[in-house]
Amino acid sequence: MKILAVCGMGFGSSMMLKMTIEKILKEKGITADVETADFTTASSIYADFIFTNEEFAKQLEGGKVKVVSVKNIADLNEVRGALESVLNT
Amino acid sequence: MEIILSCPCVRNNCKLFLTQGQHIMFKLERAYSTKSNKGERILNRRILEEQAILLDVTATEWEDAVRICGDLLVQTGKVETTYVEAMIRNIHELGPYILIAPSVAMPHARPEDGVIQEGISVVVLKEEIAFGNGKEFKVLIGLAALNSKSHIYILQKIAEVISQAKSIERLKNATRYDEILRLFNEKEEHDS
Repeated sequence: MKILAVCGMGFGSSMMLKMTIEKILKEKGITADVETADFTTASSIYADFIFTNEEFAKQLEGGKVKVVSVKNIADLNEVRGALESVLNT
Repeated sequence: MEIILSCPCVRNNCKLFLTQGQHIMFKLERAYSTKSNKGERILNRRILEEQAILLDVTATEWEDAVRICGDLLVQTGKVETTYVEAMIRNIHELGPYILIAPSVAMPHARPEDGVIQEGISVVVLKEEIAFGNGKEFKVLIGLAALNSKSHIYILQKIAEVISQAKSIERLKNATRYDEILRLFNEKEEHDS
């Protein structure tokens, strides 16, 4: 499984989001690759899920990859809930 | 020209004075780090200084607020003025993507846009500013990173602060500098 965390430049908020996602994967014992990408290259990178903020989610939706929008990129509860919902679908 | 760099042991607020042309790499991480109970090395570096904080700021446009936030990074020797322009340009180009939590924005640009030293600045506005699509923010955390790896400890600290609604409220309603300094510079008090 590959998860892509996306932000404007690929190393600020996406890196924070990656850290949050990795914490949850670790706690759940799930193995997955989590990578970061900037908005402009995100759509050309293979991934199972894209996690990003609401703004970019709106623009990235509609492709093959399931896009998940996150309001608070460091909120473990919110990101855990989002991850659980996509893993269960 | 005299370049003034803050010494990593900012605890004593001492300054190192370096003359032009000297290129100094600080190798003090080990000296200023401790091991956690998991054996990981934790840096006791302070990422925020009082001079990089402004409270009760009046601004009506997001661009003014981001500029104030960036200017604090300039004034504290973290970035060149080109960096502030890049911060604003990025938002114009990419939209209001810098919101990292409700009411909290983290404007930044790329290391090559003029970062001198890593660190952050914090601006707390008097009132929320609208930021497109019904979003608004009250707190800005300006980020200056030297490369895409070395700033992880700063991001961890910011994540720790914004991961809890309680500390976001403390940020938004702060009336004294030391409240903000304590949030960003002290060790984690509780697990998130």
